[in-house]
Amino acid sequence: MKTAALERVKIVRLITRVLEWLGAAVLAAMMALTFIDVLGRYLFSAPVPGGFEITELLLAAMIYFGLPLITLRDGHITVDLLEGLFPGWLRELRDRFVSLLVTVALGYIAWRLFGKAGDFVHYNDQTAVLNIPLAPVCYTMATLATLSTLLAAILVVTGRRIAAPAAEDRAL
Amino acid sequence: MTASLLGFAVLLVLILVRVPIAFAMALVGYVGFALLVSWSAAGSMVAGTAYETGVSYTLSVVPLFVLMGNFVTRAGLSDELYAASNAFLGHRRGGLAMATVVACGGFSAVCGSSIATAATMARVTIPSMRRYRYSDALATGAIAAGGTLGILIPPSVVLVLFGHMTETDIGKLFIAGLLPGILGVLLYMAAVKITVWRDPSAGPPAQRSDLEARWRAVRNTWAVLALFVLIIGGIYGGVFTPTEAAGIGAMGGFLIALARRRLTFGVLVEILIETVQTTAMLFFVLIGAIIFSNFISYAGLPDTLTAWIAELHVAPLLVIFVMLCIYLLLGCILESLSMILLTVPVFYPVVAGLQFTGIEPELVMVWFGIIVVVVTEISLITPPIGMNVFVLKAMHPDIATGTIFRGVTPFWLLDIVRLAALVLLPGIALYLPSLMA
Repeated sequence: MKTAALERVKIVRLITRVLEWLGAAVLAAMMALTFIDVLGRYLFSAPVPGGFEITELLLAAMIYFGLPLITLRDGHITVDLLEGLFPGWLRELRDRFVSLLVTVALGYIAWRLFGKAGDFVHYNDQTAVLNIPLAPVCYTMATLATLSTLLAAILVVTGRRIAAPAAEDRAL
Repeated sequence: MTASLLGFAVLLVLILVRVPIAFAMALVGYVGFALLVSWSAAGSMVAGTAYETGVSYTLSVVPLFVLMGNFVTRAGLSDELYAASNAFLGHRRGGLAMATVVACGGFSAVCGSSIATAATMARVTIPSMRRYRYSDALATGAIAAGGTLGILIPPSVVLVLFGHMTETDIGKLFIAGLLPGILGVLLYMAAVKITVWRDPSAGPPAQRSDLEARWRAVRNTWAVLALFVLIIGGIYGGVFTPTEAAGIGAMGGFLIALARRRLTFGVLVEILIETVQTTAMLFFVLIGAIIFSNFISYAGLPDTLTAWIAELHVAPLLVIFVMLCIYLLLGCILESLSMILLTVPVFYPVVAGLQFTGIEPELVMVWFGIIVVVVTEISLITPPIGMNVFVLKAMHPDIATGTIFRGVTPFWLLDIVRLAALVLLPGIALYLPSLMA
C-alpha cells in the first residue's frame, strides 16, 4: 500500500509510523503466541493458558491499528468501474463527498464504541479464563476509530488522491 | 422483500460512486435496520458488530495465512516452483505457459490470495516467456487464470470468510478445494494446448532438461512441499485445527524466508505492516457485510426466497444454476470478496433448505462453498472488471488490457466446464472431506 500524500506532513507521518510499529508488534505477538500454544499443546501437553483469549483481543486490536492507515492511504476496497466516466474536477468533488461519508460513518462507530467501552466499565466485563478487563481493549478500538475519523475529516478538506491507486496494491 | 431490493439498489449506487464497499454496506445496513426496527437497536447492532467481529479465535487464521503468504512471496519460492515445472514441461510447445499454470497451482498451496499469486508469478514467468517469444496473450492469460487458483487451493482466505458466515467447518472447506484445484491446473494446461494448437507460434518450445537437472529442480521446491504437507496434512489428519495450522504456517514461512536470507529486520517489519493493513481491509469489509446482512435477514429476503423456491417445487440443481448465473453477472461489476460477502447471507439459507441427491446434508455447504469460490475465480478474469487481469496490466502497462482478456478466453471457457463438472459431480469436491473424521 502506498503512503498517502498527507504523510509528507511530519506530524501525520509520525502518527502513521507509531501505528505501523504497534500493529506490526501486535501481529508478531499473535504469530508467536499461536505457535507457542501449538508447540505447548502437542509437545508438552501444556497449551498457553487462556491463549485463545489473548489471540482474540490481539486480533481485535490489530484491525483497529490498521484502520487509520488504510483510511489515510485509500486502502479500503472500492470498485473503480466508472472511474473513466468522471472528469477530473468531478472526481475531486466526488472524493471529498466520499471522505465525508466515511468521516460520518467512522465517527458514529467511534462514538458507539466509546459507549460500549463505558458499558464494559460499568459491568466490569472480563474474559472468562484470564479475567482480562474488556474496557481498555474497547477504549483502544474507540480511540483508534476516532483517530481514523479525524484523518478522514482532513481528507474532506484537502482532497484525497494525487494518483489513482494501482490494483497491485491490494492483496486480495 | 421490497426493503431488501431497495437496499441493494442504494448499495450499488454508493459502490459505483466509489464509496468504500465496507462503508457502503455498513451505511445501508444501519439505515435500513433502523427504519425497519429502531435507531437505537440499529446503533447497538453496529456497535456489537464493530467490536465482536475482531474478537474471534477462528478468524485469527486470516492474518496468519496472509502473513504466511507474504513471507513465502518474499522468500522467492516462486522462482524454484517455476524452474521445477519448467524442467518437466518447458520443451513442449506452450510448455512455459503450462509450467506457469503448474507453478501457480503450487504457489496457491502456500498462499491464500489470487491477486498475490498472479502478481508473484508474473514477476517470475513473464520475463522467461518473453525471452522465448511467447505471445503476450498466452503468457498473461496463463498467469491471470493460474493465479485464480490462489483462493481455491488451500489455504484460502475467501474460504475462511465463507466458513465464518455460514458456520461451515473451515478444515473441510480447505480439503474440499484440493481436487477441484488440481482439476483446474489440468484444464488450464489443456487451455494452453488449445491455444498453441490454434496458433503454434504463440508458444514455441524451450530447451529440454535432462533427468539430473529435473531432479535437482524438484529438490529445490522441498520447502513449499514441506509447508503444504505440514499444514494441510495436519488439518486433513485432524492433528491441527485451522487456527493452529495457520500459526505453524506463518512461523514456517518466517523460518523459510529467514533461512533463505531474504529477511532483514526492515523487510520483516514491512511484511508485518503489509499484513496488518490487508487484514484491516478484509475485516472492515466483513464488518460492513455483517451489518448489511443483518438488515437483509431482518427484512426477510432469505426467508422469502426460501419459501418461494419451496413453493415452486423446482429441481434443486435449477436453483443452483440460477444462482451461478447471478454470480457470473455480478462478477462483471463487483469485486470478488464483496460479491461473496453480499450474496452468501442471502443464498446460503436457501441452499441449506434444499436436498441434493448424492450429497450428504452436512456436506452441502462445503460443496456450495467450493462452487461459489470457483465462480468467483471466474469473475477474477471476466471483463470488464477482472482483478487478476488488472494486476497484470498494472505490472506491464505496455500490454493492452484487450490482449490479456483475449489470452484468458480459452481458460475462461474451460473454467465454465470445470464449474459444470463440480456442480454435476459433487464427488470431485466432496470425496476427500467425506473421508475426514
